[in-house]
Amino acid sequence: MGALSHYIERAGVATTGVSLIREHVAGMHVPRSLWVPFPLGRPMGLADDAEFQRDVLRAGLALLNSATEPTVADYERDAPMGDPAGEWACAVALPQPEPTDDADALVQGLLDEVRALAPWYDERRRAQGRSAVGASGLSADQIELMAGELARFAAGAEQEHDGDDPGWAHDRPARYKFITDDLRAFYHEAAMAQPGKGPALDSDLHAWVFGQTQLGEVIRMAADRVQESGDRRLAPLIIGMIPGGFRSRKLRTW
Amino acid sequence: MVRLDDLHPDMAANLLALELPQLEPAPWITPPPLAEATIALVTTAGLARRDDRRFTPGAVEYRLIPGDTDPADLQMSHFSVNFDRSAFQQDYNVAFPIDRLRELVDMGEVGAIAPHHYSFMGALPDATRLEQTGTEVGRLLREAGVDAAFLTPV
Repeated sequence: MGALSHYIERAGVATTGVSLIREHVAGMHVPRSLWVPFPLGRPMGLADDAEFQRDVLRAGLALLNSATEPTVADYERDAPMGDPAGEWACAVALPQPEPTDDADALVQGLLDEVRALAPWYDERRRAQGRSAVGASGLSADQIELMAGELARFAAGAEQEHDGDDPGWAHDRPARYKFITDDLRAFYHEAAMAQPGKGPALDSDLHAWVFGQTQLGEVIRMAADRVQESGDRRLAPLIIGMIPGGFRSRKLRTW
Repeated sequence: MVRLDDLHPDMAANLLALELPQLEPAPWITPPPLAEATIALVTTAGLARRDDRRFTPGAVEYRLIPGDTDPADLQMSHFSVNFDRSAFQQDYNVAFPIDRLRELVDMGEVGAIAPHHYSFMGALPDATRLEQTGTEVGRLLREAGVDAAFLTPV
């Protein structure tokens, strides 16, 4: 954000905004920035809390009229997240994930899981009027097609040639990264709609997907296949598929 | 509360190891009072309209988000997974506070909202690669009568 701020200012437009890494904006001497103590991915703090978000926005905009030299202001209000009553758990009972190299079994296992979550995903999309699924270029209505594509690659049985292109936004292998994004968004949104304990923390959702689901197993297998290619240029692909802290030891050292 | 110390050690180390470009600051700009100012949003969350091109890894170009875009149609194709994606999945305003900005305009606290907003892919190892498109966005904002941009990362 720091460089972008400088480039926009050069054209004569003032900038302000939010920063999540104080060391970066302070080190780049941006004109105005509000450092917020929120997790990466949450520059405005709390989801579904208009008053909180307005307060952050006001504090950042206020720097336009108060700062007279490069300024990094600190936002002092914390953003409590998660349910303090206890650990989040998926309310839908999913089949126990089982490692398998058989492509058909892997595809079927993932499809079973996707279908078990689909009613809650649909409910979330209906209630919100939106969905974050779509980074792959396909829509949530094509989620089973995405699941099949990723599971076949994970099992080493991908098709060499596409038939009719359903609308993929990326070629292989980058496609697999964005399919994982869409499948994880589908799972997260299904989880958000379920009854029970309040909104899950990001760490809860990671622990669930990569510790208790067939999807997590398939993503790890897909990442292993990328690694087995021996092409280190593809290392960013793995980084883009599995969050830090959830990669296997051999992937971390690759 | 999250600071670098709270992040995964590998990630915190990577963030601290980034070489920060030292750019010559532009002459200081004094914008008009906020209640008279036109504000645009600029994000590096890798957002694009559902019918627009998704970002590809390392992309330096921008996506235009017209002011009348239904925010429910915004898609995120950011490459990194090392940030809380559940936030945007839950509420787009956490990363792109378009509804909040409109509310401040309605309340009279902000003069006007820009006709167009802009989105980039963040997490570039070398942010100076944004010089051409970033400068162009600044020029386009100025020509649209925008007084200030509010920047949000993820």
